[in-house]
Amino acid sequence: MPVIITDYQKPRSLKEALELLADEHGKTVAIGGGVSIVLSGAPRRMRAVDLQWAGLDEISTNGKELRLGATATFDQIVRSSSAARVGNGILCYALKTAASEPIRRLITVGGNIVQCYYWATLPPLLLALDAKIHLRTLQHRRTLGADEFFAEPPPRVLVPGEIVTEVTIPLAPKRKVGFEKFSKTANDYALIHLVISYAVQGRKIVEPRVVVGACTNLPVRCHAAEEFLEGQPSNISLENALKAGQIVAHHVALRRDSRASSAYRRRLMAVLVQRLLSRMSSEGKESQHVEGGLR
Amino acid sequence: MTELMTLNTRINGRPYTIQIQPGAVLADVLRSLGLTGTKVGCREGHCGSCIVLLNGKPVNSCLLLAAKVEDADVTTIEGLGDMQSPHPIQEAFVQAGAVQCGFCTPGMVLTTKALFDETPHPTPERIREALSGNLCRCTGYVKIFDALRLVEERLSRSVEVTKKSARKATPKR
Repeated sequence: MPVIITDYQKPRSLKEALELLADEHGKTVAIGGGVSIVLSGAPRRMRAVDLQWAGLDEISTNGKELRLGATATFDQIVRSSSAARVGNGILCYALKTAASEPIRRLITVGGNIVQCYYWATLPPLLLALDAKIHLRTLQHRRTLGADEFFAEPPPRVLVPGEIVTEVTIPLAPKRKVGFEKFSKTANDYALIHLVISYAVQGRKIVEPRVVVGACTNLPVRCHAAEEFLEGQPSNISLENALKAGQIVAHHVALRRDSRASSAYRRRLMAVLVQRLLSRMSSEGKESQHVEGGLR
Repeated sequence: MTELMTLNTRINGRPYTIQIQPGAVLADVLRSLGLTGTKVGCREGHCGSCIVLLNGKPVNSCLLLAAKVEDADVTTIEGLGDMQSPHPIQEAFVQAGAVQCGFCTPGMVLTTKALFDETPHPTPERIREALSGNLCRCTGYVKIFDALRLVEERLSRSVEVTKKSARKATPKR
């Protein structure tokens, strides 16, 4: 069934888009790639404001951070040399696992993080990479940290008429970043997303981020595991990697999933954390980007 | 009833101005125009039988709002060739036995077209990645990969022939 869109607007600038979105709160929906609108099948009538022509698809870097426009697609990011500078390529690698190439051409930054389906790939990455989300209404603009943006379902975070215009991610070239997606097939929705990042100072781990997604309703940081890892030797032992895995498996509240039991996913999570930490620890200084495995 | 909207687009090189439902997806619009080579399988973007080329790149037309192809170039399987004059990729699929039930074939052929437009010599890894959005439940992919190898061979040969004829046509000093 086609969705019931009563009126389809194609604004040619951000200002025009914000003016259109300021009208009829609750009945007007901003569209990025449009995938979730098509899939939702929501039996409601809505007015659509398509942001495709509003000039929000830029990907650039100023040497310190990466700027991703809200309508930049995953395919654009995967092919972007600017985006490849984040986590030494981890952002591009991770988004490549999000879906098949044709679908990556439809998924946008804004759509992925606002809809924030539990399997979405970008939200856990933004949380682990200390990203900032930039929001606009016709009158106001504000910036939220990823922690704040994903603290509750993003549609509840947005005020009426507000849209995501841009996401900025620190390039942080000295941080180690690792990513894992576990799914039954490569293009399937993830059972678990795991992103770990940390800096190394004096051979010690500092400011670690341990983020889990897909098995939770929203991506979450595991603060208990982060506290455990803080100050540990960067050459992390197998024992400590195992311990960190057990902490994550114990502390993260899982959503129900018909594809796998909670017990299985907890066990899996512990193993993935241990493997990823061990791989990150054994990586040479030249290559700090740790790819995940697809199974 | 919702009001219809006007869509201006190009399909298989031909300009179209059509009235569509604002929420219609491209696959349905194409099929309503009689371009039924575009198949609709899962309607969730998993199977790839609805793949068409949007400005030369494969997209799932079952997930794409038709309103988004304003002023764009859409290529469906009908735009490549027909029974009388099939495209070399279509010929290769037939010759390699890469078609069984045929439901996935339009998507497979269009993805192959985009892949070889991008690179004439894709690595096996790149081929697998490019075709990862196209499911085939009949062939097990072996014959499809054979067809792609045939396409590669033929393209290389035609490039060589073109180079040779260009050399012949260049007058010697």
